[in-house]
Amino acid sequence: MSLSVIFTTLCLLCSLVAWNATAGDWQFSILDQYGAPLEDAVVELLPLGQTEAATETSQQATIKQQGLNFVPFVSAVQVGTLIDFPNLDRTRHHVYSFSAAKMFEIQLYHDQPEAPIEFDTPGIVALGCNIHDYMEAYIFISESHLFAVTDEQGQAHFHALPKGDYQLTIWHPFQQQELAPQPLSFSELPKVSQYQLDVIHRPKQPTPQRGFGS
Amino acid sequence: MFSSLRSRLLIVITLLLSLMALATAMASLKAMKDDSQQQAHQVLSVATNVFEQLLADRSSQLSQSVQVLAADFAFRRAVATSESDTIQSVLENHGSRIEAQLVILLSTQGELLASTQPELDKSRLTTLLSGSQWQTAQSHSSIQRIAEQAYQLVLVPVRAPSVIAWVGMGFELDTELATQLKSITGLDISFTLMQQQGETADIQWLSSTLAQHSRQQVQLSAKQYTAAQTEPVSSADLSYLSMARPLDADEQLWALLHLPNSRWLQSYQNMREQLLLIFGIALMIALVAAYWMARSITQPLQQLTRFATELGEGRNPDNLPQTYGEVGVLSSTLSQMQQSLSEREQRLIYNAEHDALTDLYNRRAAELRVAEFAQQQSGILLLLNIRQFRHINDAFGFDTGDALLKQLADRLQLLKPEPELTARLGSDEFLLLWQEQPHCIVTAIASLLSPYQLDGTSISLKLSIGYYAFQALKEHPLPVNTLFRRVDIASAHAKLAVDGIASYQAGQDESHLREMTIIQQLPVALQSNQLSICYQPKVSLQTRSCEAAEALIRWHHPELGFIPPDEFIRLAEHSGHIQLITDWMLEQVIMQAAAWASHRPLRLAVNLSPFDLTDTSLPERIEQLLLQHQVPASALGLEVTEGAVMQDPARVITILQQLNDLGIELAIDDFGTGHSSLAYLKQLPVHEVKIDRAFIRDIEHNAKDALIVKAATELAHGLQFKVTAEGLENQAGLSRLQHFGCDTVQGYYFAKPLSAELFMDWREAFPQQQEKFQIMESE
Repeated sequence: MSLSVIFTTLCLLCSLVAWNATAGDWQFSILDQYGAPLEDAVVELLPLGQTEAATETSQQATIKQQGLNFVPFVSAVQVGTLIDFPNLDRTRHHVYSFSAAKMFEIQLYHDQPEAPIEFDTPGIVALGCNIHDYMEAYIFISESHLFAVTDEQGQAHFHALPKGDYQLTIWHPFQQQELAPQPLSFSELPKVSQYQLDVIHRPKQPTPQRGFGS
Repeated sequence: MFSSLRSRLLIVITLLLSLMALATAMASLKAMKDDSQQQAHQVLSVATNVFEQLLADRSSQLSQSVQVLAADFAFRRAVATSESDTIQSVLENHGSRIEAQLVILLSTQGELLASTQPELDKSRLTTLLSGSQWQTAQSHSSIQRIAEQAYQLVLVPVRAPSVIAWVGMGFELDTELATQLKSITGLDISFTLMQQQGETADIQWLSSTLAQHSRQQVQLSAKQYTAAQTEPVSSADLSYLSMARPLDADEQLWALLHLPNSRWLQSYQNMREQLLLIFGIALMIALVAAYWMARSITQPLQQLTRFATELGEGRNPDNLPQTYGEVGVLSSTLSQMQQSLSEREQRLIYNAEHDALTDLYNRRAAELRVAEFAQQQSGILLLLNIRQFRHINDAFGFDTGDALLKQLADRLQLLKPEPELTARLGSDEFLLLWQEQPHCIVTAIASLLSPYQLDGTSISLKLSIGYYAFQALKEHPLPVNTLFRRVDIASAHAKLAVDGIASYQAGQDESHLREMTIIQQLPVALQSNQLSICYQPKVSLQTRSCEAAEALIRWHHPELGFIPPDEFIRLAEHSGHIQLITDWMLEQVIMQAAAWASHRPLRLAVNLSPFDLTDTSLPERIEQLLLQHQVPASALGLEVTEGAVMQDPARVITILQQLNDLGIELAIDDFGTGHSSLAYLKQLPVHEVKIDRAFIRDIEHNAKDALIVKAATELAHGLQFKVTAEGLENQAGLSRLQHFGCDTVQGYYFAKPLSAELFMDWREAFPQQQEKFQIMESE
């Protein structure tokens, strides 16, 4: 399978005016192979040649189980983030991960698990529920503190970025092939970058018919 | 044997029936075979569809089972550990839960991660699914050849929750499965593996519900596998019909469904036997019917044939079969033929027995009836001839002659008393038979003499009638030949009689028979030396010596004794044998003359018959004989009678002249007794006359005889003829003859006719017998 990534950098002044962009803004637009905006893609920028300022306080995140689904579907967190998995449904859930970055299992529980789980290894974690096989969610554990998940318009925004060189990583749970990280430089001028990614479209967390298992 | 109606009928019926039976049997059997094949096709098609459905059902069942298994949390966790030992254990453990013979674990890229069977061809596994399917497909089921075995392989993704691996579970297509499927489809099922090896295909049995020995017979070739996908293919021994289904994508694994052929084969054979039985019975009935039919035709025909054969043999068959139809027509035709044949036969018999002109019996019928009559009773036979009938024919023509014969025949039939038999034997010869001797034949036949009216002409007939009254000899009846001969003899006498009537006198038959015997045996006698020649000397009165002799023929018959020459010469002249005698005489005498050539000259005289003198070849024959035996003509003399000359004077004189020219001395014999004609006498080229013995015998007593002899001698001498006197018996006669001047004398006084030997003795001794003359001189 060939993966074609069209790498295009567009610097459009007029668009800056229209967008009302300020200095240090970097906008990423991710499209699928058909040119449609791609949601749930993670864009990570790893500053190169800069020492990452260590985060003093550990970050917190939440992935809810609501309506028999994980919300959000894709989360991006910095290494060491504590993620809470509150159960907002009436049924119990059995959240697990067999991924190498973090293997864990929160056996059948209601409301709030006993403790949030710390994700201390960069990588991808696939979340599942042993009771509801269709439920799935992904956590992108980033070494960097610069990351974003594209919205429904397939866009991710970075603000007040210092100028410098960065390593760009784009990831999507449905991608056909892992995209190699690539170095980029940023000149504090507002910038819009567009990328295309080959994905296999499928419904995310296809909710089964009502009345069965909910 | 095939030409007979019966066999042809039998053959035709047998052939037709056989043809029909064969056609029917072939059509029935073919229809049955087609039907059976169609049924088999249907059964096999349905069974194949059921089989495929069963495999599909099993596939989905297995898929569900494997999906459930793959969703097991512990399984997924074990797989996620990536510990090969753990994974191996969990594969074996979970595989055994659903009795999978093979469990494999594949990465999302299709690489083999783990397997319950250590030796697996890994390369084949990566192609099980296409690249994208490895990410998304729910499950995949197929039949695969793995390690020379057929497996139903179910691949299911292992989700955590994204697909982290594929687990595959294989279920062998083994005999157990085949048996299960057989219990549902009702057919034997086999799984085979076909591997192409160049041109040939190696086919290998994986499992089958068939017994081992059956498999060899059901074996199909690679081509048949292809054909068997659509149509049932029969095994080599016809015991099974099979259809094939490829199981995998490479068409290496095949399922065969076998329908035993024995059911329809059995009914096919039953049907064939029944048809044979029906055919046999029908043939028997047809043959019996054909035989009966042929018999109903041929039996009357045979009877008709027998009838016709008897008819042909002249018998009178009367048992014509009563038949109808065509044979009946033939039968009545034959019957008519019999009638007309019978009529014609009657007519033929009538014609054979009757004279066509007069409708009287003919000679043959008369002989039969007279013979029959003579056996029973006495009677009188009468033979009637018309005198000079030839003259009537000549004068009035044959038509008138015939008409006359008819009228005569009509009158014969009206005779009173009525004759027992009236027949026409020849042209003008009629035979009559009376039972009793009529008192007066003359009055009886008087009615025949009255004139006959023919074409306005009145003709009177002269009849000659010979009759013979015979006695019935019951012991030894006279043969009919004898009867006819005797009446014939009587008739011959009647022809000579003045009044034209003569009856048979006893003894006439015997002399007639004697004459017949003489005539018949004369040629035999000439060849068998019964005839001999005597020589009677002729003595010259001047020289008193014997210088000539007359050759006389003698016949001493072994049964009849001595036969007088007059008798058999006369008969030979009548029967035409005279030339034989003359030739014999001439040859014998000339041979004798040749034998005596060394003695003093002697002339031997031979008598010629009047018939000889009409034969123009006679002079030539005599000349030939003389030349042949080298005898001079002067040694031969010939004597002819006056009568001989008179018959045809011109020709006789010509012949005599030729003989005279040869130098043969000719004499007139019996001078004075025949029809002498002095007119001819002067013309005849003869040298001598011989005065008949009738004048010499009593010459010394009878003055008239003496006068005649004297006058005749003088006449002869006057004509320059020598004179010889015959029949001199005594010396008195001799002196008279000397006195008259006769030249030579012949008679008993000198010598009777002597045989050749005695004649020579006598001639030697004669000069010493001068006393016969001396006595005369002394007188």
